[in-house]
Amino acid sequence: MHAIICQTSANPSLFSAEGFVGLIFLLTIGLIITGALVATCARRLVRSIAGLALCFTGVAGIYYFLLAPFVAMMQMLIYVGAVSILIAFAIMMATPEEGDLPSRRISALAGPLGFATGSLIFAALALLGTRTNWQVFPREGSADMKHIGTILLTGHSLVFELISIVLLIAIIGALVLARRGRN
Amino acid sequence: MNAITWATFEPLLPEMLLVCTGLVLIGLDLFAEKTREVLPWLTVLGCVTVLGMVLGERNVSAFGGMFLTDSYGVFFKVISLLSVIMATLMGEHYRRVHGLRHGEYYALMVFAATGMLIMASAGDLMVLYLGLELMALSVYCLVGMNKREAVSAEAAIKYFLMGVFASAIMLFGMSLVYGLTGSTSIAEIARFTARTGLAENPALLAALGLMIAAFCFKVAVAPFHFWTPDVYEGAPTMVTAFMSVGPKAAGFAVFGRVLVSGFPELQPHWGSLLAILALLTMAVGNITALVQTSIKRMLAYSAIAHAGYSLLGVLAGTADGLSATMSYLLIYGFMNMGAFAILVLLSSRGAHHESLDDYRGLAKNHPLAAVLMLIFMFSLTGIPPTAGFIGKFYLLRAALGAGYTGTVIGAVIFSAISAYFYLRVVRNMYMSEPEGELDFSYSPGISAVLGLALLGVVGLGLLPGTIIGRAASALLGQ
Amino acid sequence: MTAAPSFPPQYLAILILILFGIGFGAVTLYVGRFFRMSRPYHEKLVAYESGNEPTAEPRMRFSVKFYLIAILFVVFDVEAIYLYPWAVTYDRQGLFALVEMFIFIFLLLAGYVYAWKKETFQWEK
Repeated sequence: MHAIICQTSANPSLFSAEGFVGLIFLLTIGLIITGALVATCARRLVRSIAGLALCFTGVAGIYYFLLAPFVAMMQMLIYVGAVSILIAFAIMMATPEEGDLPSRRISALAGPLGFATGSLIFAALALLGTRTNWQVFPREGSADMKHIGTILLTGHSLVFELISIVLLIAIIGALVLARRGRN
Repeated sequence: MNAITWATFEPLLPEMLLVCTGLVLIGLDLFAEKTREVLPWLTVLGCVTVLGMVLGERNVSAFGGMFLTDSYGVFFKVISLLSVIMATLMGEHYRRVHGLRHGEYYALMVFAATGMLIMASAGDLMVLYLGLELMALSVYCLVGMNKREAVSAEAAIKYFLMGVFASAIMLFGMSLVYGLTGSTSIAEIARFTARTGLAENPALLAALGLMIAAFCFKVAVAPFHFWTPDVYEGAPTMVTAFMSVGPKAAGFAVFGRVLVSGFPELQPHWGSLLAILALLTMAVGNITALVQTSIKRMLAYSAIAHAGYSLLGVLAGTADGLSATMSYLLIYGFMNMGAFAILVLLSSRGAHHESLDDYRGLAKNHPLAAVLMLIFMFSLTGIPPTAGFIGKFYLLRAALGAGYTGTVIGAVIFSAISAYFYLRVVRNMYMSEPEGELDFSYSPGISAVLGLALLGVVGLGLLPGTIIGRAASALLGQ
Repeated sequence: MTAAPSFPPQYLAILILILFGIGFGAVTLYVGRFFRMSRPYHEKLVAYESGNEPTAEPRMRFSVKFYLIAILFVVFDVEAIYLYPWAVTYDRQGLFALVEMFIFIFLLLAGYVYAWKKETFQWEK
């Protein structure tokens, strides 16, 4: 995306089309980072979920930027719409946190160590991302729904049917484990 | 896009039959509760039919190379199906003794088998991942089957959390590979890497590292083995037996396929990495197994150690090495299933009899069970007339041939150490006085498992040529 | 769609709508502050429970049934999304795609029947 913004002009004005797009891009990134921070730092789980949903929304925005509207729609419908709700229900099932939250017992080393590990991974990925000479592959047709529908049901029909079996197992497995059954 | 017709689906017939079997099992369980007695036998019937179909498969590349029915895949399919058949038969015994009333047990087993078959045949990372998830989701549920037992639930949670974490890491690696090569087809990745000289690209190495870490998790290779002891101990015994054979073999199938067919150019990198991991795994597995007092937990560490041995063939990256790994996994399947079957046999309602002390004086009261356990323990150690020896021999030879002398020396030393804890079981059975009375009876299911395992361990030990030959010829078609 | 390296223009409208929505909410809530009066006392600050005296904490344990319904919702949500690309190309793909979709739906239907028979949808028990 960085390349995409800079490709058009060296220093675009904020009110030009490129500047506006860049602004939206930064907003999307901000949404992701804010959401992730809320999700990890909030002490109440319910707030973490709200943060997570925010983060998912930002990721959907990134998919739009990558010209993958179908994936963005999936992200919104499945992750923001369904998975967040599912996690919210899972929290509602747990015992409520009464009164004051117990202070977390974390060793003094955990913070610096976690920070160091996180920065190391970030630095490694950033280096890989910027140093690698990523090739741009020619697109096979456009990313619109019709094209996706065509390849999903012809070349990728095996993948398509496998998805339905995996979903079936998800239903059965969830019910086997979570149902208050006869066993 | 190439046209898809009905004939395209023909190579997929065994998998389709398995899915149908699973659906029928669920249907019978839901609508005809009286047929519960028949379910295990129906499962076995379905799996045996599929086994027959798999053995008759021609070498076809279907769905534009996404699904390969080459003999490499067929060999792993045979191991997976055998493990399902034996675990189902154990389940039949378990149901009699412990009153397992879940009809879903068999259906989940069959769906796990479908996933393993797809993994063995996957020629595309997407298909590989979906097969893996299909298998993993079913196994998570199987582990947590005994909801009322806290250890079982804990094992399921641990396995699930670690499993999805590993899947996420694998997907990250796969997405990097896709970004670099523009393809998810394993063969195309290898072609692209060779054509553009991508082999030394650090991003590709990082992607490969992420994928190797995830695969190591799936087959319980150190340092990604921490879930194994708790999960193996907490799961119902026949599920543990199944996990240590079927999913592990399927994991090695994709391990070998991705590394050897997808990244042959990078062999110097992953070969030496796996050599270190194999050594570490054998050390962790064998040394920790020494101090275990529960046989089930000891066998869990032994499973880690055996994952280390099996890596010896993969790291060589040669057809010789892969065929050694393949035949070792088959042999390991027989001997490990046999040992776990004895554990299932000895457990009774309310008491699992998994402690080492429970085996004291077993030979006096139950000579048949003791002699079978003796054979399986000898084979796991790798003592000559049994199949375990043959398997290890070919593995060591393959690794030696590829020049990994240090790793081979380590493997021999750790193999000698392993004799201590395997033979301790034998000593307890034959050289101690019985402490309590064990009461058990042989059901048809468990007798069939023990018979099959014995046949495998002794038969492959005496006639090694057939199996090794089959495994070696499997790779020629690759 | 052109392969122009920028944010797809047709989504700009959505974005403006989102910004407008956020802005409208923020402005109306903020402007209200200048007009309303603020006289809080105890009864006003108590949680509203349809006029009754509040009895328990708002956070309580919910039944696992909510969770099961949510899981089924996720699964069928995913199914619905996969129906979409099929539906827009249905006229071009013909019988084969139709059968593929039927298999897809049939497998999920089996899951639905399973959930039904296992009394997941029965609330009282």
